[in-house]
Amino acid sequence: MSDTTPEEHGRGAVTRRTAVKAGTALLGAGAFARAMAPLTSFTKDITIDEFLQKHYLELDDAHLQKVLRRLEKETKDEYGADVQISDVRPTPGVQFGYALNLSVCTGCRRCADACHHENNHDRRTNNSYIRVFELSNGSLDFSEGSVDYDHTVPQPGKFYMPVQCHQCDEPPCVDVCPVQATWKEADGIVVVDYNWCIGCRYCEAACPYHARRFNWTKPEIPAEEINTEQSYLSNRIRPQGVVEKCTFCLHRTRKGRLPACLEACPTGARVFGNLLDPNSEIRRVLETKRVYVLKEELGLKPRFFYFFDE
Amino acid sequence: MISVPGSLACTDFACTLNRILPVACRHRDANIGRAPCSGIPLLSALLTCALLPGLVHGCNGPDVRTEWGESVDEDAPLHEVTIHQPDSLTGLRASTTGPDGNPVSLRCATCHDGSPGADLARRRVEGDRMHAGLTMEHGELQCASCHSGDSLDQLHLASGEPVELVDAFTLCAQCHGPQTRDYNAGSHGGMNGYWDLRRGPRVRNHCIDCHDPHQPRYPDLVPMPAPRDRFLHRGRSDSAHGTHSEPTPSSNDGHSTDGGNR
Repeated sequence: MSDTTPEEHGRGAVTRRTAVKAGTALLGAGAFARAMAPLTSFTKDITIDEFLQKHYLELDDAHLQKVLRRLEKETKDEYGADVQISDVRPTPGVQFGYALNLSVCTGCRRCADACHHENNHDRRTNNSYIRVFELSNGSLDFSEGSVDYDHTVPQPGKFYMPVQCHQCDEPPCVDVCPVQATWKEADGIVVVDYNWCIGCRYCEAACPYHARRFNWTKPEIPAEEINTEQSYLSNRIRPQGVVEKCTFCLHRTRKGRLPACLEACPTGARVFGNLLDPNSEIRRVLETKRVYVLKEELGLKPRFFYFFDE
Repeated sequence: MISVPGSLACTDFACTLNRILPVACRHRDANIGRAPCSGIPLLSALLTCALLPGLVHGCNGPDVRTEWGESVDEDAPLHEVTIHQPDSLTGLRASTTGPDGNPVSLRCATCHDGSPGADLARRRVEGDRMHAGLTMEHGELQCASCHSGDSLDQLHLASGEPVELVDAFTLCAQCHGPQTRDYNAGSHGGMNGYWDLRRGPRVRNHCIDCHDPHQPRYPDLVPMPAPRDRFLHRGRSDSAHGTHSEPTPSSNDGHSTDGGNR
């Protein structure tokens, strides 16, 4: 440095300072390009429309309709099925509740199967929002239970306990979501905006009922088996990498229909209805039967109840 | 009741700030009204908003989706609740098949037309060709306990009052009081249709849909397929057998309950 005169500088020799500057700039540009690289694969995995889509609660009607039509088109392109995706809002004066009679449930898994088809679950994993536990009489130790039993039911000495989302009034899954992609709706149903979910699975870990499922892969469903009556917040086919859960079939129940699992139950173990209607079947069960709340001590105030005939 | 993070649910200033954080305001109970929102310092709220623009819902804009949809007229006329009428109410399956290959269903009165000879006091009919679909395992009841002697298509109550086959419900109700009570209250027996009768009809199962009156114990069923998930079998494949090809449902090691995606 000491033997370099200002004159030599002026003649255009590359100084160490310039070299460092250039090198740093090159490194910076390289790092920037690398960081932006995922953008180049946008068209493959995610469209610009999808990337820029707002949270469900912030979509006005016009935008939501656009989103629904886009999702219908995507389903057509990817699965070959013509589906109708609607948006059903809660009915005023309705708070949903669900009860299940453990005295008559025989563990036939018809409910889980109905859920599987109604909610367009992945065929490969035979996924469902309902797990039916086979437990020994007098025990509620789920670690000793079985959910993949394969013999005629009911077996002597066993009882059967289907477990699904309890739609808690104090939902821990909602608390832990870092992006508020899941929330509790006005009629008591906890929903997920599948397009807002980042797939961190915190909610899955937070749920004491193991009611949430993660889409490890893109669901595989033959076109002819797809339930075409879909809604944005419930049974539309979920993308890969997001969490999903039971919504009490809100695309049916918010229109007054019974949930698919209840209709499939051959023993009539399931009772569903409006908790605010004093004459409803669900209210009578809660008022007159011996009712059990699973993990009541957690204080999550579930909307799902178990009851017994005797 | 609702934990919607947004301006629809939260109107006060503190709440509006809080809604950008995961612990945003939650309305604990609609009956009580709004519970006070937990206080989040203004600074952290602003910081979060500055650091995570667009990531956290609530920084983008106000909630515009309505909390409620359309209401249903409270005084709307109720739709009908009908009771399903199963085929088994009209006859008995014999061991003979008809031209279509299906078992022939015979009305009881085809043979039991009131002519003498039939022993209606018996409790067993097994092994009898004409009664192939019939096993009698219903307490101490005999044929004549429910069927009328003149014509077996006619039922009668314990009091002797005649009951038509399709009204067998009344007959069952004589002894099965608690079940009848629960059935009438909607908590016994399967159903289809609408929970909200203001919006649609409902079809309920008949007693006989699930309980064969001659053998009323609910039959054993083969369950629908179990979930196929790598997590469900994890413990089993770790076990001494080293394989998960043979499910042993009663001896479970506990891994079936873990949080794996089924």
